[in-house]
Amino acid sequence: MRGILIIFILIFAVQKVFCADQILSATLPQVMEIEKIIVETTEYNRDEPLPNMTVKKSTNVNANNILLRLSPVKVQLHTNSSTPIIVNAIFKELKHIDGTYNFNASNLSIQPGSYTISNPFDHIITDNFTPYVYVKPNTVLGTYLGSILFTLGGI
Amino acid sequence: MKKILCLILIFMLCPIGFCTPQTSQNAFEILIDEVPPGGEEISAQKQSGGLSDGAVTAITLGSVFGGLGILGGLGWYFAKHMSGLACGFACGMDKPIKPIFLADFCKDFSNNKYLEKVFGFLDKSSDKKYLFIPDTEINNRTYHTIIFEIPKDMPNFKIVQISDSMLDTSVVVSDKEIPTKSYFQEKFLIKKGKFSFTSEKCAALAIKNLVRKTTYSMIIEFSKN
Repeated sequence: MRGILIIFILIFAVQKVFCADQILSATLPQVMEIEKIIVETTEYNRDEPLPNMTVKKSTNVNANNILLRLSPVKVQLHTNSSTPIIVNAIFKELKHIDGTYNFNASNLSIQPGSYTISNPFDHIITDNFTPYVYVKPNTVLGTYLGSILFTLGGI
Repeated sequence: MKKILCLILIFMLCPIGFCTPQTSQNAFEILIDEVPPGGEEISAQKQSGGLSDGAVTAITLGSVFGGLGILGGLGWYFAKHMSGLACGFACGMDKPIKPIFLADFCKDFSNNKYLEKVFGFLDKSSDKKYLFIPDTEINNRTYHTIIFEIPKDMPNFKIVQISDSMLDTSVVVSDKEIPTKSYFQEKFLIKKGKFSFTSEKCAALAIKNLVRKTTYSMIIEFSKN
């Protein structure tokens, strides 16, 4: 009897030693990237030109300043992040195609400057980023080349 | 082998350096083909016959702004010659410059006393064409711009100007100021000049005020001779 009991105890002990629970944990690499840029309803890839950007509306601010509102832009993300993500936007430049008149950075803005996505999920799309340009009544007309920079960041 | 490995590493790293998926720089081309003049909003002062928007209301606005693209260097001209001055308004005409007797202002000068004086001084002719700038107020350290189409086959121009204080007036085509001969006659400042043969369709009248807040009015007369 004693022998059988000892054998049972030994079997249990061996199981605990050799068959311990193994906890596997693996962390998937975090994915957080800009997937698409959407102007109005047209989608573009990252870094792709935006040919359908236009002036949507002009508003008189005062006698010397007029505000031009450009096409709204959204950003679609590819992410598996569960923590908040911030999307920043900067209206970098607007230069006359002939080089005769370049807008000062202080006359360019984009609203809002950033969006915080508190609960991100894959293929989430931000709300609109709206570029604005302050012009004067005698601003030189013509074709301008501009660019907008979007960046992602974790919080 | 080492060299091949280095090359492989370089090619792997380069995309990371220049094309990070967490940024996107998107270029675009945009056409600004119309800028409404400032001060278009209705204000109590304007409704009671105020002066400051006189030139804006008096001269029809529209497609002539497209002519600014033709002017090209106008922005450069203003940046160079008007630096330090507040930008005033710009306006122009979408219809050809009017023959004198069709001008609406000629029927009622009650809100344009300065223009009435200039109009009375002018030797009017049906062979000539006219650009009217009715009574307009200009602040100190400000310039106004009036864009107009150069009338076909009428290269000679004469500006008849009246103002409370001295204003510097120039006619600009592209980035060049047209030379003028100036003199006073009675209380009017007269400036005469000529557009040389040019492919430019539009010119700008630049009015610069460095003294004090002033009211002015002028008529530009265009003629063949």
